[in-house]
Amino acid sequence: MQTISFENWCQAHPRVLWLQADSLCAELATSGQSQLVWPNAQYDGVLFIWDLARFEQKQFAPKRLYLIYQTLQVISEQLGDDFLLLQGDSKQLLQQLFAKGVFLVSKRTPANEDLVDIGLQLMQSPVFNGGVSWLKPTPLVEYSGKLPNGFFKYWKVAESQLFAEMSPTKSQKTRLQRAHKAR
Amino acid sequence: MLSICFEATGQSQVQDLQGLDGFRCLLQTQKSDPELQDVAGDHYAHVPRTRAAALQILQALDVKAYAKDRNFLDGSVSRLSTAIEHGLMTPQEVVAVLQQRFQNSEQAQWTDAYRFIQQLCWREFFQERWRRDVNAPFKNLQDYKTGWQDSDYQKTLPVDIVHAKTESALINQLIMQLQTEGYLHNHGRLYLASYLVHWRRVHWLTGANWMFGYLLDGNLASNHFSWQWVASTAAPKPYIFNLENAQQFAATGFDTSAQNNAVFDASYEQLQTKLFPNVDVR
Repeated sequence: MQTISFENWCQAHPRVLWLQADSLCAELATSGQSQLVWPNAQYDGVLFIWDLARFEQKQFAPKRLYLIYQTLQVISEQLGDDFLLLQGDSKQLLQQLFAKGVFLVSKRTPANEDLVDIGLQLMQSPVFNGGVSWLKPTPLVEYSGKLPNGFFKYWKVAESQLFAEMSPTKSQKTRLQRAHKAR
Repeated sequence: MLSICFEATGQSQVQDLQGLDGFRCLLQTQKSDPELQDVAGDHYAHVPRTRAAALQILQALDVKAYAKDRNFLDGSVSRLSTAIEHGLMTPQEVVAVLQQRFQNSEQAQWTDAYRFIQQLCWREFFQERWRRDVNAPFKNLQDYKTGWQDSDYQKTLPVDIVHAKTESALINQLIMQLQTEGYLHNHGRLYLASYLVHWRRVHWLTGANWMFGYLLDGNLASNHFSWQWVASTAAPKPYIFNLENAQQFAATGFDTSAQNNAVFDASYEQLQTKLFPNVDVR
């Protein structure tokens, strides 16, 4: 078994992609779709924080955790020493990372707002050199204004954006929408 | 896979995690209970663990079949929800891949993916609602249209539901599939949610939390807002179904006999009167 030193890993990887349970993809340089995964992110290493208490609070079933674990194993095989799995409390681990001057970049989604708050709190301290910046995923549908209660008003806007050049004809839409009403 | 765990003293411990034993370390358990053995079972063989596997599934997706029979519990669903939920691919990517596929295709056109994209947008709609209010999944978005008050719904899951021993064979099968596979067809989720909320008067949040705790592809917004859609706190009316509907869409692999599902064997009008006696239907 290789041995790694946390200090050495941080020194070798000052810019780190911090994967979350809803962003388990470290690939950047694939085809033209790469920007859709981690737009404009630059990194030296990748890490994942296994905070079991947090996962249990989020009610992740053991089966789901195993799926995440298997996905991380594949990433570990692909990236080797550039991938690190940290176990423990998110706040304490972020303190350790920031203290070593590591800058993290991660994806901000509603599921991770608790981590955003922790990161902001820690970065206010002059003690830490590191930090975290959050990438906000671009929504599939640009919807400005008040969100309607019902889906189909939203869908009208979505349809105009996604099928703009090739909108279905009225008869095609009627045929498609005549399906069972239970979505 | 090497992992580092910091102890209370600040010292770090390096572990080499391999297979199920490695997973046990992460779960901080030495148990070898059936559930932990089962996590490596065949039920999940089809679930993509890599982006490449997810893209392969997407490239092979039959969008015409999806549009035709996706509402049937044995229909042509993509099973990509887990990959999308865990970020192996983004919704934009799904759209881009399909548009590229159909650009010069003779087999299908982009508009053939209409129904699939529409379902993707249901998820986006729920996500947008969650983005705008992180607490929205946990609170009633509207008043009930059932004639019942919030306090009429029980906050504890009945034991027979937990153990899949209800009065309905169909519901029992859905519960067991959820517990065993961590997955249910969307239509199955609606049936199960409807039974819990309207027949058993279990609070939608209790049911939503329970179901989420089993789902491999559980998205808090999609799951909880869908339960509210069923309950009518995010819809103009409650969602109910009858046996005729179940016999149409759950005909294969499920017991939809009248004998074993008498609770659903009625017309919609009869069920409406029985389940929502406080609602004036005039």
